[in-house]
Amino acid sequence: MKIEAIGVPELKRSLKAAADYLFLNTRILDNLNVFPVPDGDTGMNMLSTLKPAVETLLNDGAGSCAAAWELLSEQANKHSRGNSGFILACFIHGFSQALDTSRTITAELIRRGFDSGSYAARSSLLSPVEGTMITIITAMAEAMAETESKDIVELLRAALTRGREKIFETPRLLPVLARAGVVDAGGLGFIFVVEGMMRGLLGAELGSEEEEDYRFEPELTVPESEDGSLSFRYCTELTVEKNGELPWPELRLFLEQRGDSIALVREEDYLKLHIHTDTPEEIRARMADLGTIVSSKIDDMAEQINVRFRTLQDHETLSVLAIVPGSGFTSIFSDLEAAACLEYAGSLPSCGEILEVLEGMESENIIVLPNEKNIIPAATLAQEASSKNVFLLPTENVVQGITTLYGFNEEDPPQQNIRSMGESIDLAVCLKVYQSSRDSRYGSVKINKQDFFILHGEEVSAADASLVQTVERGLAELDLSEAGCVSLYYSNAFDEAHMPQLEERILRLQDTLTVEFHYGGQTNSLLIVSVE
Amino acid sequence: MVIVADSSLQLSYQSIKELNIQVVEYPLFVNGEPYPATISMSREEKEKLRGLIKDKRNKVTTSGLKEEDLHRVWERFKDQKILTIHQSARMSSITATVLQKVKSELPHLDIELFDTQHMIAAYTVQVLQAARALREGMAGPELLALMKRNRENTRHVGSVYDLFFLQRTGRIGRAKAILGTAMKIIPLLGSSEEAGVLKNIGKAKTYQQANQKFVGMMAEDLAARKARRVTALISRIGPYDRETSHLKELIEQQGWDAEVEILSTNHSAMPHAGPDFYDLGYTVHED
Repeated sequence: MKIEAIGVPELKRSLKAAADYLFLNTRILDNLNVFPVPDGDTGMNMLSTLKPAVETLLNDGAGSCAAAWELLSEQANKHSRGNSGFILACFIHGFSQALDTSRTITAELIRRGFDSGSYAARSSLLSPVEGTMITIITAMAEAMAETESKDIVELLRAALTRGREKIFETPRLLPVLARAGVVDAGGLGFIFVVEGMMRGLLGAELGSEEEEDYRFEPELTVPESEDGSLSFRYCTELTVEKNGELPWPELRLFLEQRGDSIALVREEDYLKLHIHTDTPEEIRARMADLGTIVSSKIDDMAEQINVRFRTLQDHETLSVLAIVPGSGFTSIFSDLEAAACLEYAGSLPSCGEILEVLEGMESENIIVLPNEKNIIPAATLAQEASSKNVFLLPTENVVQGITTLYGFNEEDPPQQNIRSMGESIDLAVCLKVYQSSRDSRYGSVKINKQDFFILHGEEVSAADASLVQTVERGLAELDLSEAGCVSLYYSNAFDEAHMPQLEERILRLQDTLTVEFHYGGQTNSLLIVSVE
Repeated sequence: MVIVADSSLQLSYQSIKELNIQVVEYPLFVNGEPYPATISMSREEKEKLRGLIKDKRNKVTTSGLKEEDLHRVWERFKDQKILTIHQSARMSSITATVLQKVKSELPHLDIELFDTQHMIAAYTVQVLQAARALREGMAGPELLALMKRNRENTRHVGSVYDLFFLQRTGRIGRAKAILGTAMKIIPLLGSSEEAGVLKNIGKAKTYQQANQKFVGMMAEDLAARKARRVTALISRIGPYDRETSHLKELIEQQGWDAEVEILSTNHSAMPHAGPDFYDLGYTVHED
């Protein structure tokens, strides 16, 4: 099959397959991950970066491939997570720049896109390390440059062949890989993305690869000091809207003295920084001098996950593990008989982290509530890897998680619970309220900086400069005639002074409603609104 | 033949009279003192008692049926067969013992003891159907067979807004009683596989959710028996007119051949279920 050009539909199909292929093989990447930090999250970081970006693209009506890639780039940048996610987002951004305004994509544009993407990824790193994802990207870009064919499939095949050859050289280039007996996880993840794209174009079957194919006998003669153990504690990511010229190379020196794994995207109007450091607040303060910080994320890699257990009775045979986005939800889920809550802030928990909690629970039969769409892949992998009987109820938000617990009875057998909890999953509608940190566009809705907006599923249902007005408009979109209660779960950033006015406006919409406020403690959204 | 019931029956005083049901009262005590509670109490009087129960400093209790009351009522019908119908023996073992004892003391009377294995609305719906059948001329083994069939096909569900009272009377543990209180969750209870024993059947945040759950269970029961006819009674303690009306309407909207009635709970259930409660007892008919 020869393909000389692709349009938006083929591009979307191809990218969907890329995300799906990455998903199917996420666990392999997590298990192989030893560099720069052996925290078992490379697969999830890449998936968390690519999957939501692709999902947004699939729901968008982009008229050209260039517009589609631009949206993909914007979303990947927004969702990028961890070192590998950051580099993948840089590559996508660079690729996007090569497309200019093209309606379709040809082999030549892919060649240029890989070249531009490779440059963007490599140049974002202050100290590029060979034997990692950038080595693979570069090798694949070079293979494309050497292939003169106009056939996109042939071009991708050539790049994949070179990438798969090069991946087995990564242990030689990076001794820590040799000592662990693995190839580089980020580089392999990039190969999986391209493999998925090609299979998507051809309509070929997607499947799981074998982890053993990427492992070999560890070379224990490599000194332990190079084993990639945690040298800096906090994974810090900041996006800054620039207000002037960049003080280079002073900034570079400042960053290099305070951390490693440094990646910096320098665009005309913004900067995006990724760094592993022990002094995240100092980094943040320095970056604030350069402009307005529009997003920031600081993860404690040593104690990223705060797990709270509530001891239950010894005879208990069935338990619920709820994955929750804040301490308020830990109390709420515990109150509703969840035996354990895995609490996260900022970045989503990895498969390994979920697995660790599952294995630590007393019960042998566990129902997992992911409570976030993007955690479901990691929870699925943890379910497969666990030695226990793990049942996954794919709750996509905490509101669904709460209502499923209405159907939980620890004395009932697992299958009966799964059934009755599943029947309760749609008892409430979930709206999420955010405040925009910059001017942006979400589908057809324009959102000004500092405006509030509501997401109902994937759609923006209301946006306004007033929080109260936004919530009122978002709720007015719903049929409240059969609703009995509106619960608002608030974050630390929420100003409690809004409560009386919010209650008044909601009751104005439907005076038979009960309005409740509960502390959720989530970090990403200002409010989570449950209508039930 | 005459039907004798006890005061956990939820029918109105007027219905009790019309159906000629004889009622033996459960004695009720407030802080150890007898309280003048009867099945003929008006709604205002029931509200007053509810207020006493709602104040958790008061200890409102019932005791088992009194032997002398049973003697007095049964002796009045010594020339008739007496069908004496009571709530689950599992829930009041003292009463079950007293019933057996008094029956053995009155060998000259023709007494048939019938344990409905249910309580409150689910007890009442069985008594109601037995009384109607008797009024229509059914009696003897035929009536007993009907009652056994109805008992098999009766289910009990309810929304208990405050589990404190069930916990105080030892029917659930303390841990269960405090679950979900911060979120104002409504615990839902229902009959279990074990006759006369209630179990947790779920939770709800709103009465609409609770009622949907109840009606869903009715639908399952009807489907399991390939039936379309159902007799249902809803009883309530407290200001739950809106909730119980919604439940009645929801049942009626299903297109079944359904008879549904809402009742104001009589006093005997109050100390146990608490002052904020409504329940549904229904019998599915296979005919």
